Amino acid sequence: MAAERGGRLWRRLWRRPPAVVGALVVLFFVALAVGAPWIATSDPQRSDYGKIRKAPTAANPFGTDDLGRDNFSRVVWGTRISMQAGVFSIVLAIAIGVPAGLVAGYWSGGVIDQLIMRLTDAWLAFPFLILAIGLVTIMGASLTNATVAIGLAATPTFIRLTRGLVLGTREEEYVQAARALGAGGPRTILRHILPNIVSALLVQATVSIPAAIIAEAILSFLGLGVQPPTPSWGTMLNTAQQFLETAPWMAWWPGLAIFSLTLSFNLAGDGVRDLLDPKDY
Amino acid sequence: MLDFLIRRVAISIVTLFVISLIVFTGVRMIPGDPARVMGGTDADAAGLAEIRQKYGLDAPIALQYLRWVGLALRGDLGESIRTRESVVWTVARKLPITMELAGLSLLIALGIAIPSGIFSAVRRNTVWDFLVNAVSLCGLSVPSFWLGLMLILLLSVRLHWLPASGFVPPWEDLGANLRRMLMPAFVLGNGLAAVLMRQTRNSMIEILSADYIRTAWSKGLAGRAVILRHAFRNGLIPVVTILGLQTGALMGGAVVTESIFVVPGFGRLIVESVFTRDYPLVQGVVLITASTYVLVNLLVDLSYSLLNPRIRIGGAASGG
Repeated sequence: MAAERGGRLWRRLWRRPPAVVGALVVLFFVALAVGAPWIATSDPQRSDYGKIRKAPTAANPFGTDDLGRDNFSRVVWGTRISMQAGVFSIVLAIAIGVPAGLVAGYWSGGVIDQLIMRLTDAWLAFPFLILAIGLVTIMGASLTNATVAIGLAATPTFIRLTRGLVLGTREEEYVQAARALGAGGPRTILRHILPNIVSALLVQATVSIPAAIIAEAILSFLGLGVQPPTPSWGTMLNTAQQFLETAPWMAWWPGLAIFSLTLSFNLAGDGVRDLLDPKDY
Repeated sequence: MLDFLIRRVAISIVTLFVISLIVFTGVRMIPGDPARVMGGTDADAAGLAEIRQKYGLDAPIALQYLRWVGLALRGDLGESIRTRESVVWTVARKLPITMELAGLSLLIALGIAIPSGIFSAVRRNTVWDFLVNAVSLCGLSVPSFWLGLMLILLLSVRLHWLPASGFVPPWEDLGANLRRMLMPAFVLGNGLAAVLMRQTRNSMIEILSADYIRTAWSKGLAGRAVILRHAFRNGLIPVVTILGLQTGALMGGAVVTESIFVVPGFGRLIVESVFTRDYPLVQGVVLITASTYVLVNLLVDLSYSLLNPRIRIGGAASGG
């Protein structure tokens, strides 16, 4: 039965070519991130002062940067940083946000719910980027801190969403039945409510991960994230900004990488949403 | 109606209170002596003593918080470590620049989003609809700072049409001001345009299939009258909500845009104050930004009743 269901999912997916393309490009970037040592064999941090800001050639297909480093290698290795920051920050947001939302939603109206929701409201009032900047100021600029800051900034979205979903699910008959049979709060939440809201949370994650990737790139671009010489798309663009007139290729590739990755995530995310929530169509 | 107003205002006050707690705690989490954090590394013993005295740093933490909030409510957010100017004054000088930028980008975003949203809703499921959607998805996915760099590359470096950066006050030379604001405003408005276009399209599709629109059609009203007078007004409500919620993104976006285009506004102030470890300034800026967001969304919720008098109560509040 599972196979049959999988088959149906595939057929539905094939009817949405943009989603398939998006998913394939995301997989391609995952492959780049994992396979960086084999794909980009030249050291992304090795300077060659004989080749400073050289236009793309066969040996350096994306050109070289201001320190004579190979831009192709740096873009490929930068994929790791972006993926890491994007995925880990959202994992953090889910790890905090979902339990908090489950508790707030299941015991809604209670003191804990009020406490969590007022904190969430206030937290949401800080613009995502400004909150992340504030947190990095307190913690110091580094990849780990930027990831944590982005994760914390994304947390309230997951709290709100989870709570809303729990409120919607709580009154369903199967949940009522489980409670009538004597299932306690934690058991009802974990066995009956959570499995039914996972797909909606997954959809949110596909929206949040590209946003987190852009946020990391912005923080690094501003100098508040990844520190040189580690290759990251944001820091590469920061450097490229100084040489726009003489070496524009330095700005093309890292930006194109961010753009195509986030675009693919959005395309794939739209597809996932349609798959999981067919009633929109 | 009054109930709704009171409840909505009360929630905003609680939110503002929690925001102040978060900001206060945040600054206390910076390692080191709080007086040193507020006074900067150059502060001498007398200066540190003055700060201790002003904020009551020897008193229990709850009293320190009350004193800080009391000062903040009176408009005293301390002074910048770097310039020794008051934080409120510094912000007040920078804010109009960002407001001009945000206002222009809002105009650009609405100018793109509303016509194209209506257009693609009316031409639903045609090639045009598909194209508009594809462009908006690209707008949603393109990182603003890269878009900014590419525009500079094309319009300034290659074509020499627009200056790449800088700022001229509008009262000195409005033309020069607008020429320098055009690119940043477009970059800042781009993401917003994409979001608003999607929202306009969705809500117009929903409304165009409503009974009263069918009635309007069948009365024989001209197409434009139906779409603009009947559908558009109601379709605007969700758009206004999104607009309120996007204020934050706009303020965050200003940080990036102003950094790229060297616009000396509020956003650039934040980045500069982070780099110079000007904690009082960071604190003030973050506090002001979050409070503004709360107030804007309060206004948005209250403006519902103006756009659609039928909406009066709970349903309009997005609060959890």
